[in-house]
Amino acid sequence: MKKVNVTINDIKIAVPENYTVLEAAREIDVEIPTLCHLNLHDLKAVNRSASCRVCVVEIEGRGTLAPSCSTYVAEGMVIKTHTPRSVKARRTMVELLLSDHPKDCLVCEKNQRCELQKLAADLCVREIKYTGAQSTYEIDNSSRSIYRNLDKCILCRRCETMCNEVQTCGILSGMDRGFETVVGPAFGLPMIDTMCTFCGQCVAVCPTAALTEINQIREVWDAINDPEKIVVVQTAPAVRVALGEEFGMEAGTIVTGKMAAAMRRLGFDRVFDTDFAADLTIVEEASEFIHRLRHGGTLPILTSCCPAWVKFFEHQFPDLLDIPSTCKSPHEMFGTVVKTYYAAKMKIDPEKLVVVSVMPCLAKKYEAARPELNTNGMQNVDYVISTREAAKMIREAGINFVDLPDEDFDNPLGESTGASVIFGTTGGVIEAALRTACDWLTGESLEKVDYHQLRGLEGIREGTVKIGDMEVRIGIAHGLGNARRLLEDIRSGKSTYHAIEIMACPGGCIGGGGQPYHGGDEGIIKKRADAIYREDQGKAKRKSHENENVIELYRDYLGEYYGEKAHELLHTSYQKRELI
Amino acid sequence: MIKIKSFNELKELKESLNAQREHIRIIVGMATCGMAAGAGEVFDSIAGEIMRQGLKNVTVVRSGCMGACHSEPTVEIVKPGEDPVLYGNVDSSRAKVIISNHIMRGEIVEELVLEKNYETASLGEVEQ
Amino acid sequence: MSGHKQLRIALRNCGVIDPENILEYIARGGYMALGKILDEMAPEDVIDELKKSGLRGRGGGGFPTGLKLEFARRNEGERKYIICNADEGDPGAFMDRSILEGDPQSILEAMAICGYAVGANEGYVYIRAEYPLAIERLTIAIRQAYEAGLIGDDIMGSGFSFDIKIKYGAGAFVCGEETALISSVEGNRGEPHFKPPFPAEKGLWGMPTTVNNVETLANIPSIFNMGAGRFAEIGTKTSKGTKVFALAGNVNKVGLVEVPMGTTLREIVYDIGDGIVGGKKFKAVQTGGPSGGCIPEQFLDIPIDYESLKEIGSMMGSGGMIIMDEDTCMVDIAKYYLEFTTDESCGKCTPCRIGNKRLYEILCKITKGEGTEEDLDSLKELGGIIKDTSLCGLGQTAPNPVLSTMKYFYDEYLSHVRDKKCPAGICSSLTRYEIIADKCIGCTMCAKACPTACISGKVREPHKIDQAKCIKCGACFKACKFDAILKS
Ligand SMILES: Cc1cc2nc3c(=O)[nH]c(=O)nc-3n(C[C@H](O)[C@H](O)[C@H](O)COP(=O)(O)O)c2cc1C
Ligand code: SF4
Ligand code: SF4
Ligand code: SF4
Ligand code: SF4
Ligand code: SF4
Ligand code: SF4
Repeated sequence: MKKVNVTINDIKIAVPENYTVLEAAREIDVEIPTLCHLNLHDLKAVNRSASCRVCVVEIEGRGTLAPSCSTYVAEGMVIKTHTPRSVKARRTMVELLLSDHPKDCLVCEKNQRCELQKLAADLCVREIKYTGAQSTYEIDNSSRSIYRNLDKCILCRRCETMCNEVQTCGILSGMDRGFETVVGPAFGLPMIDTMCTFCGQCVAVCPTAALTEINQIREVWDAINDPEKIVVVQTAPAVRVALGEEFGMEAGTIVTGKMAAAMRRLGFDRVFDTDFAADLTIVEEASEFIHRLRHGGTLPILTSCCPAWVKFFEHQFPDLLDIPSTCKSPHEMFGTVVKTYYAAKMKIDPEKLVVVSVMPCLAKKYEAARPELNTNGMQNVDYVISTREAAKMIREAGINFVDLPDEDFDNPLGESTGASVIFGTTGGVIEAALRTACDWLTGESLEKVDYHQLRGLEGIREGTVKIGDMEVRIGIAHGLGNARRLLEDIRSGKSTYHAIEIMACPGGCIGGGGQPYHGGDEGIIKKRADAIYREDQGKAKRKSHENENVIELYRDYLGEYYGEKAHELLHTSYQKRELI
Repeated sequence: MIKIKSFNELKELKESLNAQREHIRIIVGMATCGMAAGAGEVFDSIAGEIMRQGLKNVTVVRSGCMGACHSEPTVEIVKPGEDPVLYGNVDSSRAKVIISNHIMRGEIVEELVLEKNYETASLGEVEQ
Repeated sequence: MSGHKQLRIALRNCGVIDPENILEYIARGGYMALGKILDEMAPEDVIDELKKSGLRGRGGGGFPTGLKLEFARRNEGERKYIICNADEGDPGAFMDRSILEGDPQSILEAMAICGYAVGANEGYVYIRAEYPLAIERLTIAIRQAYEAGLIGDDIMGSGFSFDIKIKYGAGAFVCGEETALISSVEGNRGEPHFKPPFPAEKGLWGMPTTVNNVETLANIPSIFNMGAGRFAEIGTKTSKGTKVFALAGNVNKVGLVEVPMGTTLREIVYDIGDGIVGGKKFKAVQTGGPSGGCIPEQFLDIPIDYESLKEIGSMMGSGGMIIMDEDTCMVDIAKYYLEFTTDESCGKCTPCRIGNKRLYEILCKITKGEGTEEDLDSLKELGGIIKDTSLCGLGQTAPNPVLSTMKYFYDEYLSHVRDKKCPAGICSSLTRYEIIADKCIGCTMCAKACPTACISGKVREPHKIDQAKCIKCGACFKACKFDAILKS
């Protein structure tokens, strides 16, 4: 890349010509504050609406201040980032935003995690300088996943970029004009009546509390405090590599043991691991794949463990409902197994069992209530809380997370293999499935467990895996926009894949809508991915079908893999949904 | 309308069109402003009157805005070889007077004349 | 040249030809410029000629048209586009509408010329749906031009093809801003984008695009017919040719005027507009529409062009020109324009969405008599920051009416906040009606007119207004035949 010479705050520096002024300033350790700007470069999620005007700087020869996030450097450009004029303008932008903002930080979901709040502090805003009309909108808590309080929206449009450009769902867009401008679904529809997949990526990037999760902490405490109930908690693979961030730990710290300890101290009666169910999912899904391969079934097979992705294809590709695997998602399998097998085994009335999932995901909150996922009239999973909500509970309970000792999960639903851990990142489910499918198809126990060609953050990846004398072509997509591209190829007959993994969230579940806020730093997502593979590496067993608890479950209760009982309990069905 | 296939054909068409110009043109300002002021009725009554009087050498033209919003509807009379005359605040009955006096007898209806306070540039020259 | 103050170039055919008959346009020299260009000029020569003419955009920005075309020519693209901006959203402006209604073919000819110059084969006219007559005539014009082979495939046997389609605007003022316009043509929300990239680099569907205003385009065929040199002789040093204004307000002859650049405001107001209605005193002229400013009497004699207007805190804008007499309240005027811009803001950026709203709220406070001198400081400071930080032209110029009236009519602002008086008697909350006992003959007319029945008094005795109940509607003032009611 050609370099150009610029002068920033009297310091001369050469930077690549495709740099913005903001990026150039970072090179000399000058941080220009931003608010609407978002750049998840490798995930292709870039919001450059240049609308908040917080990042304005002076550029010699220009009449007006320039937004540094979207002004590109040019040869000889002379930039001043912190002149009284630009600092005053910046502060005024924040003051104006605050003049149309509820300012109830003390009782706000986003308190201490809010980018607007931080900016106000950083810019030393000490008075509410402007007053006047404030916009008020109705709260939208129509869904089980997303809470919209547009009074707190600062119109950064990050959610829109995420939903429309990255996820191609087109749910959120700007409406009305002037002071009444607002971001939301067409015709002001509540989220529940839209094609929203509840992937929560809009929530993941919202800088304020305009978009947050529907919080179920209260309900979970009530269950824990109810002496009649036996409350079972399960934690998803991606949670253990992110939860530590909420307590100031370095991104990518693996906190599996502390997490299990914390769950126990919160008062959960049994502390289990969704990873167990991930192994279960793999043996079922690998069996289904082999079945389809051997019996001329529909190919490719698509993974189905991401509920946002499931809802996406139900709306957008109803003609392809026979392609996805019919396997339930891991935490749903888990819930089913708890309320049937486990209840029977432990002689507990299933009505007394409450299953709580700790998930990186907001779609799973919605998924838990899907009626076809009930077993014997009971919801398989009663409550889903996000990684963030779990952290809130841990803080509320006064647990010093950082110093907790490592503890193990309870048995019999606590064992897991390395294969289940990698579920948390893009490419992991298919890699896990291959580890099992390869062994089964060849009838051997293969040495090779690491499929490096399938890893990484590229939006669409593909690879060919040789199993015996068969070449299995694998496709991987994360982010629903990428998924759409793969699906369109299938629809048009261009696709030649045998198996495809799809995750709705960029990066997979480690980048899920319920994870600690990354604040626009995609390095955090990468560190979580690295941690996932480290955890896998460190496991004694790395193939799902070697999980003793899983083997025991089939032996004692389910019978055959992909058999009748397994179908009844572990598989589900899909339905066509409207395009609105 | 035939297709013009070359620049020469365009030039020839222009020449022939201008050679035919011996009609008197009655131009009615019929842009949105004129229409709002009643130019439509004025046009109809002029066209009707021309028919009734059997005037053969007169063309009535629906045109755009003449700029005189203060005196709409406006009507301009262009007689070959004479300076154009612009009338303002024309209504149906005044239109009849203009036809009988100006078109038929050559007498300008002075009290309705608007001063034309602009010149027009076109065709390579700034014409009056 | 004769002694006329007006010179019609853009409006040369308006009111002269039948806009629904292409032959009348051809008879007046229509399509001669395009014919000549396709016959004997290279695209670069066309651009050079336009640069030589000094033509600048009439849509508000005043950017040199030749240069703009050159950028689009230089930028690579699979396809390129020419867009005619006929969105004309300034309140009270109708220059572009008049041209489209009176001479639509000139726009089509000019678009084809621009297309040839930049290497574009497709054009769109973006016209507001509220202009039905203009749309009708434009539609007829496009059909006739296609039939005559003057647009479409292989124009006049030259091998150059150019298609023109109409796109309807939804009537939002901000859709006239070129990046918002492009977004709207693409079927998205009409919302401006940060420039660069400029449309000439990445415009419609990401392709190099030029957006030209209707009046700009209307000048183009004439430039080639009369010669760029002759065109450049008209006007001032920096601004060539003429400008069309929609003259409105308290002037005797309102209407559409086209004057050479460099004409003074006095000439327009007094010679062309025939002075102020009712012989009242001139107070200010507002140019540039909602983005412009108010110009006081002291500048009536400066020759107007892009630069001079900007220097005195206003701008050329698209050509709205509103004359105000002594009975105008400048605070009220500023409030009026700001109300317009806050309503029409797309809401995208903070300074415009919230800042202009706050400015407007402060003005409301002042006109209600609740303002303070600190409010005046706030207006100035916030107005300056909004200009400095807004994303598009709308926000960047919205404070102009406030700032220019504050600059030239500060006393009036002061009376509103200090003395709680509206000198022009417009701000109703600040007006007071009193009955002068000496003049009142007790005719009871005022009491009958008063909607709140707050005037008391016996017949043939002086009446009195109960100030606490008076809603300042002014009915009594109008009803009194004896000048016995004092408005202050
Ligand atoms: C808020 C706003 C509204 C505008 N409205 C119009 C309009 O109605 N018509 C127009 O020609 N230009 C309008 N413009 C200017 C256009 O952005 C653009 O500069 C112009 O169309 C370019 O054409 P020109 O170079 O021929 O003037 C507007 C600009 C802004 C900021
Ligand atoms: S969104 Fe942020 S600034 Fe607003 S109330 Fe909540 S914490 Fe405070
Ligand atoms: S949850 Fe996902 S699909 Fe729904 S609005 Fe947010 S980004 Fe769009
Ligand atoms: S909802 Fe959040 S992300 Fe979306 S525009 Fe508002 S503040 Fe930004
Ligand atoms: S990718 Fe993971 S976190 Fe994201 S919606 Fe799917 S299951 Fe949930
Ligand atoms: S300045 Fe106003 S109209 Fe322009 S982008 Fe900002 S909010 Fe929209
Ligand atoms: S101004 Fe209106 S309300 Fe007041 S006294 Fe006169 S008529 Fe009555």
